Amino acid sequence: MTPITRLLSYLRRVPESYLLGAALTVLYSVCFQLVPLSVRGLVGQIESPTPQSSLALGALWVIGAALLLAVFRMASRMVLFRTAREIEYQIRNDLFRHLQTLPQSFFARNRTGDLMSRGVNDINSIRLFLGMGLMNIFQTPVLVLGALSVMAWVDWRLTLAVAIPYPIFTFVVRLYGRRLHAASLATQEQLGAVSTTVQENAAGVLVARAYHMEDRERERFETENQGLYSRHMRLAIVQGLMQPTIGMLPAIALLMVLLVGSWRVEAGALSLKDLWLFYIYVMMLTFPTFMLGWVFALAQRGLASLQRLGEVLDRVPSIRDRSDVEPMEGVLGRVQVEDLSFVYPDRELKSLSGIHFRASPGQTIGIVGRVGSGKSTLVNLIPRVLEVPDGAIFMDGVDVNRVPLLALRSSIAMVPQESFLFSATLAENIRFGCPDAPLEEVRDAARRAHLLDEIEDLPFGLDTPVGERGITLSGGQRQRVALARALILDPTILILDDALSSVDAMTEESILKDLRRAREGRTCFIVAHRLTAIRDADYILVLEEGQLAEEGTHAELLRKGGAYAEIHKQQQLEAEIEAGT
Amino acid sequence: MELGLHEEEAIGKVYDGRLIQRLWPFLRPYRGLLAAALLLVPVRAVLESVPGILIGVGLNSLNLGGAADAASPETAGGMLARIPGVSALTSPPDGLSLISWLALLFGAFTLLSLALEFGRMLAMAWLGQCGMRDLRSALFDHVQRLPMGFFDRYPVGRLVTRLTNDIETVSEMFTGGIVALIGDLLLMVFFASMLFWVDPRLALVAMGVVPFLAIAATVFRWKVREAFREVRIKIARLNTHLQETISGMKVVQLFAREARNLADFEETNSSHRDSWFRSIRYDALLSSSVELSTNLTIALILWFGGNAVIGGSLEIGVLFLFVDWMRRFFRPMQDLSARYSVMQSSMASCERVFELLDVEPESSHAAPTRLGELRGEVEFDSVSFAYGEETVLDDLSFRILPGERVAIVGPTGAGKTTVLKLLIRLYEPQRGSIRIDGVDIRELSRGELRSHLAYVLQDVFLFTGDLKYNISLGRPDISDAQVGEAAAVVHADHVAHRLPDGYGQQVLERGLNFSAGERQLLSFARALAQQPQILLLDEATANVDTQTEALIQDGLHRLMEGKTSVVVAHRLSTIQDVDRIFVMQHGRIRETGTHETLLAERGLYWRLYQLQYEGADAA
Repeated sequence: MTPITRLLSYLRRVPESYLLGAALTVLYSVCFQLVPLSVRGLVGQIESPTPQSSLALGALWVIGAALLLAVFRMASRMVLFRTAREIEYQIRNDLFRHLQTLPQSFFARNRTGDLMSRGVNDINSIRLFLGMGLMNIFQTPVLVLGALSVMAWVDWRLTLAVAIPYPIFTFVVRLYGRRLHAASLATQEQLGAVSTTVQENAAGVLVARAYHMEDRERERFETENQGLYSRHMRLAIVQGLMQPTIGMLPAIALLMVLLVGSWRVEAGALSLKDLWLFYIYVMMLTFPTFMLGWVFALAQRGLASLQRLGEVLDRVPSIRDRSDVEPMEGVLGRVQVEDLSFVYPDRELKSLSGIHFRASPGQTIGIVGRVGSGKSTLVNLIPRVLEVPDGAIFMDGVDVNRVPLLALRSSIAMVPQESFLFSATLAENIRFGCPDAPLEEVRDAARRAHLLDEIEDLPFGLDTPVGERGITLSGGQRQRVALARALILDPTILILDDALSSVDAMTEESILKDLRRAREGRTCFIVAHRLTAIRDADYILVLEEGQLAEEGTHAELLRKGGAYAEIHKQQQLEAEIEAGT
Repeated sequence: MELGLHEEEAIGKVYDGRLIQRLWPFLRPYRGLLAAALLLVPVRAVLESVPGILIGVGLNSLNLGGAADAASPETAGGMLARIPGVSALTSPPDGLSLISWLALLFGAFTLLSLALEFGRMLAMAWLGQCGMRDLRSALFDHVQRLPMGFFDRYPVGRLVTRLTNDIETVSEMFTGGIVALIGDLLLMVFFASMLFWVDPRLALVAMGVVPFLAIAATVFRWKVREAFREVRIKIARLNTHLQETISGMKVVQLFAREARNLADFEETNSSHRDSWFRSIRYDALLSSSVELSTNLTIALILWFGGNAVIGGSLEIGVLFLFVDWMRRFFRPMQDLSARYSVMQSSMASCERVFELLDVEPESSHAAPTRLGELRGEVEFDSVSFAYGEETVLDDLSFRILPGERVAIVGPTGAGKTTVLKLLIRLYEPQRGSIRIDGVDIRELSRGELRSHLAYVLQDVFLFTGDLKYNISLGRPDISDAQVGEAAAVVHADHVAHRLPDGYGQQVLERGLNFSAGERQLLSFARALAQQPQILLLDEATANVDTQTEALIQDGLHRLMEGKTSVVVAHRLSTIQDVDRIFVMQHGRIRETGTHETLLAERGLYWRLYQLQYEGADAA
């Protein structure tokens, strides 16, 4: 979709609002002419009073015009700005909805900061364009044309003298605008340099302290800080020059009224009331004229932002329900992997190749291997977090790509490697997958994750806020919250992706022991670094460089004396030393 | 450290005297600029009043219709001549018509007034930028003195925001906030009193609308403030929600929470929109009221003033003067709501900046001892240390002789690295004391202590800058030749030689263009170039190829030569060469001896050695 068609598609969602807004704006622009005209009439009465005329009537005309103008100004602004906010609301919802359909590969490539800037800054500049921008596009032409015709009707010579500076100034202001843009860009860049310096200083704080570099770090910062100061000042000069330049326009126009006007009056072509008309026009037109220069910038920026949003909104989600989807409520937990190979999008080397195994409900599959051997990739394919090739993974005999995504994922609970918690209370985090779960279930899940005792020690218990704005949990505690979040779902397939690495060995063991009891009828996948975690698995897969190196039960693999046995031996030694003499 | 929790509550305030008071020391050095800016306000007010007078005089001189005869220059001023200086302005020099003279004056005054306006804005910007530069420096300086524990808790991103965006927002207070507000207010008072002085009765009529507008403005302002506060809180929530959903998208999708999540988002989003609707209503009302008041006032002035003109008691020029000045009187009200929102956000940022400045810095000894020539003896005397509740070192004592090379080995979590960090005073022990050459390190300044020690970290951190900077660490007393020498001794010259720009080669962010082995060699060169008497080294565990490994081992030996060295060791070859080995476990030293004697004991060390050996065999 081009930015323009996208714009139109949004406008079409609220057509009557925009038509109404446009109509009100045009009415405002027409009523706008009534004020100078009625003032002219009133001054005319002062200029050449007739005995029977009363100024009150003339003043009432002005008051009437002013009231009408105020009503239309308010109405048009309210309608247009509200509509702009309404569309902003819809765009933001659309963006949010669409982001939730995009696969992990998208988020791996696009940084959070970049996506946030689209969701914040770009939406803002689109809204500014839709509100202020469109209002001025409707308003200014009518306003200016109306004013010019009225003024020309009174005296076209003076009109010419007064009007000539306006287009010149619009041009000058645009020129300034460009310099202003350049200066503020330079300031932004320098601000970036300052923030890089701070970032590095904080990231390298150990070295900086150990080598007593504080003074030199200060100097580095001072240089950037001074640079920021001077760029700010340069920006201030451009800004400072712009304002008086803008102020010069009405001054010049007034000068014209004074000079040319008095000359025309002396020539008898003009009367005092006409001079007043020009004066009022000059005052009222200044602001809208400048807005016109600004509208160009608004439109440019708004369309560029629509383009940037389009880059996200037009991306077709690669993981979604296809047309050949099987109607299924959920899966029972029979997992079948046939000759599964997987390559990450930007890589050449296969991360997995030729994997095959079967798992039935009630079974636990342990997966071990070195860092980078493909363990995590394998378990992330099961809930289709990654793009699964066709004919490789089957759920209850159906190709996983044909299982409805919602049915698949609501049957699976996974504890991912990185235990991400949301800025919410512990309880809300635990019931993340089933927001309406009663408190008793939340407590039960916390208990099974060996978390409940610690939670009850906290001042607010389960209502303690965690995440970015809450208390800081240790790595092990976070992992156990993530575990409780999965356990509460009572899933048919449970996946632990190295999910207890920060939990101490003793706790891990007793958590897993409890789990074992609850595993009945459930398919479990446990990726682990410590072999103690998977010792009791029904079947163990040993991965090496994306391939299945060994498989079997713990006892079988030990007997075999291969890679698994080697890891086992080393870990036992480690454990002995850790435990002390 | 729950700074985040305050962020929403701090949003509402428009003015906080306490914060302004704290800001004042940063502005004090530039108070001359502040004085200049404030002084320019009345000057500008006077200058702004002139164009109206000039046109008024001009209109009088046109002698149109109704009232007084005012053709001669003497009477051209008419009633306007009561204003001081006006009669002087209205007598044109010979050979110039009154109108041309007025036009000339008009041009001159306009230019002067605009120039002064430029000057005022520049002075304010200058004041603000100087003050903010100093505040930023002070804040950075403060951060340099914060204890290491602070950095474990405070996210880097938040620190960056404080030093950049927050201070930027504070600076807006100067260009668009409080001082502009004061200037506007002064201007309004000036024009009002001038009008009363020229014609009290007409001024009363002209001001007739003002009380209503003032009441309306106060009410709207209050409402807009509430609406703005709501908007800010909601947009903060929306953006947090968006950000969290993006970062936690995997969890959202895995737990099939999309629908619920979207519903929550839509709810916040729609209440954000509704807050804006309210704000728009008040804003549109206010802006229409100001426009309406301006037009109503014109009507009133023309109506009542017009009658006076017809009656001959008022000149048409005065009528114009009233209209022109009233318009200038009303203008500041247009910007009012913008000013308010600027003040709100800059106060909130100001609060956050000062909160960071209030974090207690590291303590320092009042009268530090100087060490002089160092022998290099290191002693730990019953040192205990805990991170929070977790005990890391438990009553640890040992002594290392000058020039001795000691390796510390032990399982993960034994407290090996902590020994180094305490020795260089990155953290302070809770009990016991650490002595160098018999002097308690708490009696030394940190700078003095650290100038004798070099600490090679396990993770090598490279700064942006060139290779030379990363070795000399910017010390001006380390020459390029010394950098080259130090690098050559520890084989880091191989790294420089492979690069097109040698020691001038720029380091990419975080040293991404160097391999792990190369970075270790560079960190050796860095330590050596600082010419320490005591070397602390935390060996890296990263895997490197055998050739680089040989270079690293040889470089390490050369680095240790002639220095008291404490090495947290992971490699067998490092261990075998040292004078003594401390085997640590659970925060204590369990075994001491050389490689051979420890192996013969068949204790903890022997088993650790076995583990390494087996591991090496398996890999």
